[in-house]
Parts: sequence; structure tokens; C-alpha cells
Amino acid sequence: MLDRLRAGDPRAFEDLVLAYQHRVFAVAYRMLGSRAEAEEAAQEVFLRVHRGLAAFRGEAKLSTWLFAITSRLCLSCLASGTAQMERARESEMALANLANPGGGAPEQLERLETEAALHQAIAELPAERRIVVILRDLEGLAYEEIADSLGLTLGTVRSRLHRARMELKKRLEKVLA
Amino acid sequence: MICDEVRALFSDVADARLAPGEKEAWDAHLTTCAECRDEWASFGLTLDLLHSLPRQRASIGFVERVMAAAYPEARFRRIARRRFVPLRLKLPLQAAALVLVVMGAGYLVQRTAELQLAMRDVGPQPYAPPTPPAPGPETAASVETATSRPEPVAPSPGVPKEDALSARAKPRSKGRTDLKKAASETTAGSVQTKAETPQGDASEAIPAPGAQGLEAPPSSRTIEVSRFERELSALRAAVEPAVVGWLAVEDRDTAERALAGLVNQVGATEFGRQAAQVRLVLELNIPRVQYLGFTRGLAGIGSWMPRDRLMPPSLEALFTRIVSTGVVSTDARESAHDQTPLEEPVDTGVLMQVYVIVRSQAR
Repeated sequence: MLDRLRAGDPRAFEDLVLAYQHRVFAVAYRMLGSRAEAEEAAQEVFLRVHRGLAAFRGEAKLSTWLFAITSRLCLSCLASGTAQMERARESEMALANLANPGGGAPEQLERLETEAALHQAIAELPAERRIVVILRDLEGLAYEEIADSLGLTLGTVRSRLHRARMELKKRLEKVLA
Repeated sequence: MICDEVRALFSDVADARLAPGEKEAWDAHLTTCAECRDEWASFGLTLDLLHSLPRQRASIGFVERVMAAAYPEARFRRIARRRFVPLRLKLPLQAAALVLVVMGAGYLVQRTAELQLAMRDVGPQPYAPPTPPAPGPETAASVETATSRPEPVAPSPGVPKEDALSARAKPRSKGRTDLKKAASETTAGSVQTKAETPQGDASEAIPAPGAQGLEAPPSSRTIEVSRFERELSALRAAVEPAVVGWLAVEDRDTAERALAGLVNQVGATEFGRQAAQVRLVLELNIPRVQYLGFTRGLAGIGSWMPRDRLMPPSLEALFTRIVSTGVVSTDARESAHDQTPLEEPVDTGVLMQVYVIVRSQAR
């Protein structure tokens, strides 16, 4: 597939987008907190991949390269503050949905409440920790892949991941208590 | 191992990254510390919740949008192919377009003089004698047409000025008309000659070079026409002049001598000469490759105005152009300025009308 991608085969690129669209979008959504921002970022990620395929040497896994671009783009987006207003608006909408669930089983309401709390807890993590926990616990990347994607050492990845998990545990305990 | 050390290893234990020795020490502490067990349980629940979060999915059409952004042209072609131009329409459209292109090219060739000239090849062709016209009213009409031909001769006092002017201001197709008239003249002569020479064959109908009016050519020519003359006659009948122009000169004799030298120099062939009082109608056959040199030579002899380039809207305009070169008399210039029909410029200038046929093959 990599050879076809390098040769500029549109079908190969379409296959790549099909295979990774949801994963890239999910990372962007968890990082940015807004569907619109996440879609825009995910599209930009694939366009950057498309432009950079000729220069991709294949030393890392293609997925690692994809998540590296996604992570850097999201962090850059957050640093510029472009996604904050939209993220705040969508968080308010999620809380409003929880306040007016419109009926349903108690178990379903409890699950939705827990998901919203977790979503909120993730969103309140510092960005450099949030990206690590997203890549590890939501996307299942190995420590080494996370380190390659973010350009960090394994120790830094381990440290940031543990702190992020402990913060999430602490926030969830307050909600679930 | 104390509690803080155990809790710091929660992630490593959860991800199975502890060394076997560390794991045993961590397990031993956990069995004895209830607080750490509760912390570990809470930590595990947090991870379970994280792992159970539903996967966010990109919206429908995301791939299409990415592909459209990455391959804008390919996207356009794909839409056009699938939606606007299906195969059942595309094939007839392409066939129709091909036919239109071919027809357009043919029309261009027919309508563009330069292309027509380039495609014309009037090299040596097998002689096909013209069909003798049937005697009758048509022949008489042809004879009458031939006798009233105003072009080669000076306008007689009996001819109205307008006729003389319009005869000289004929459009480019006049050359073909003249040749047809000449053919009619020759045909009329041939008819007359035929009566005199009953043993005449098909070559009797071939016009002799420079044949004029109803005057019959010598009988020796009607019987034995040289191959050269036959080719010239066929050429005159088949080809209209490629270039018709006017050459205004100061002195006619000098110009004629210079023109004869130029004709020899460029390898041209003179196949028609009609001398009038103030004009000389000269018909030349010039190899195409020599035409440029010929026009340069003409420029050295006098003021050469090829009609296909000048294209005067009227005869007055043509004469005004000549007046501007200072060839004709003051009286003529004033007449031209007054927009009145012009007299023949007889005072100081001589006009030579030169017919030039550009051939693709040198003779």
C-alpha cells in the first residue's frame, strides 16, 4: 500500500482515508472537543499526509506517522485557541442534554452521565497529558508508538500517562461519589 | 515497597510493563494494604470507563470531502462522468464533435485563401480538351460577352466611365471570370476555325496564348499546338490568378524592360500580354518559391499594389492610393479628391496591370 501511495495512486489514498478516518477524527474530537473543529482538523491531517507521502521514508509505521500529524495539529490548534469557544459551546450542549435526557432507562441515564463526566474530565486535562491518554487508552497505541508520535522519551510518556489517569480517577471519584 | 511507590506503578501494572520482581513486591504490598487495594480498584474502574467510551466516528461523506480536496480535478471528472455525461450520451457527443471538427477544418480550407493556395497543386496534368460548346444561342452570347470585355483594352469613348471603372474594380474572382471569358472567346474562335478546317481534332478547341476577341488564330496553331501552349491553355482555363495587382510606374518602356528581366530572373513564364494605350495587362506564371523575390523586384520597378492585400473598397480609393505615390497627374488627384469618376491617367504615369499566377512547381 505504501508503494501505491507513494506512486500517487488515488485508490490507495482513498483506502488509507477509509481505514483511518474514524481513528484520526476520534483523536481530534477528544483533543478539540468539537465535531466541526475535529472534522476540519482530520481533513487537514489527511491532506498533509497526501502532500507528504513522497517524503515519507517508511521508517515508522504509517499509523504512527498519521497520529503524529494529528497530535501536532491538535496541539497547535489548541495553543492558538481557535477551538476553545466551540468546545465550550459543545460542552454546554452536552450538559444540557444530561439535564433533559428526554426519558429512558435509569441504567442508560447513568451511563450517559458517566460518559459525560469522563468526557468533561478528559477535556479538562492539560493538553500534553490528554493526548497521551487518548492515544494510549482510547486508540490503544503502544508506549513506543506514542513516544515516536509525540517525539517524547518513553519515561516522559509513562509519566504523563500515569498522571493523566490519576487525574481522571480523581475527577471521576468526585462525580461518581 | 511503600504506598506511594505502589500507586506510582498502577499504570505500569495495568499495562503489564513491570518487571517480574517488581510485580511480586507490588502484589505483596497490595495484599496487606486495604487503602492501596481501594485505590487500585478505583484506578481500574477509571481505565474500564476510558476503554468503554464509544468510538467517535467521522460524519458521512468525510472521505468524499477529503478526496475532493486532495484530487480536485479527479473529483470533477468523476462527478461529470457519473452524473452529467453517462456513456450513452458521451459516445454520441464525441462522435458529433469529431464530425464538427472535420467539417470545420474543411470549411476553413475552402474559405481561407492562403490554405487554398497552399493546397492547390497545378503541376503538369494530363491535358483534357474542353468540350466544344454546341452551336446555338449560347455560343452567340459567349461571343457577345467576349467582344464586350472591357478589361484588356483601353476604354473606348463610347463606353461609359462607370463601366470602365467597374471593370477595373472587379473583385478577386474577376480573374476566373476573365479566364472564362477568354475561354469563351477562344471557343468562339475555334468554332469559326472549325468551319475552315474540317479535319480539325480536339486540339482545335485549345485557346492560343493571347487570343483576343473573335480574331481567329493562325491555322497552323489550331492544327499543331505545342505541348507548352497546351499546358498554358489548360492552366488559364483551370486556374484563376492567385495574385492580381497593379504596378504603377513612371516610364512604361523602362518598366517593361525591367519587368522582362525580372521575369527571366525569377524563372517566370509570360503567357499573356495585352497592350492598350496606357495599360499593359501581363499574365505571368511564377514558381511559388520565387514569388517573394518577384514582389521585391516589382517594388524596385514601380509601386506594386497586390489587390488581394490592398483590397480597395472602391476604385476611387485605389486611385487615391496611386495619387499618393505621385504617379498620376494633378488633374486626376483633384478628381479623386472630389470623389468624381476618374479619367484614365495619361499625363505622367502608366499603369500596368499584372496578373500573377503562383504555381507550386517551377516550370
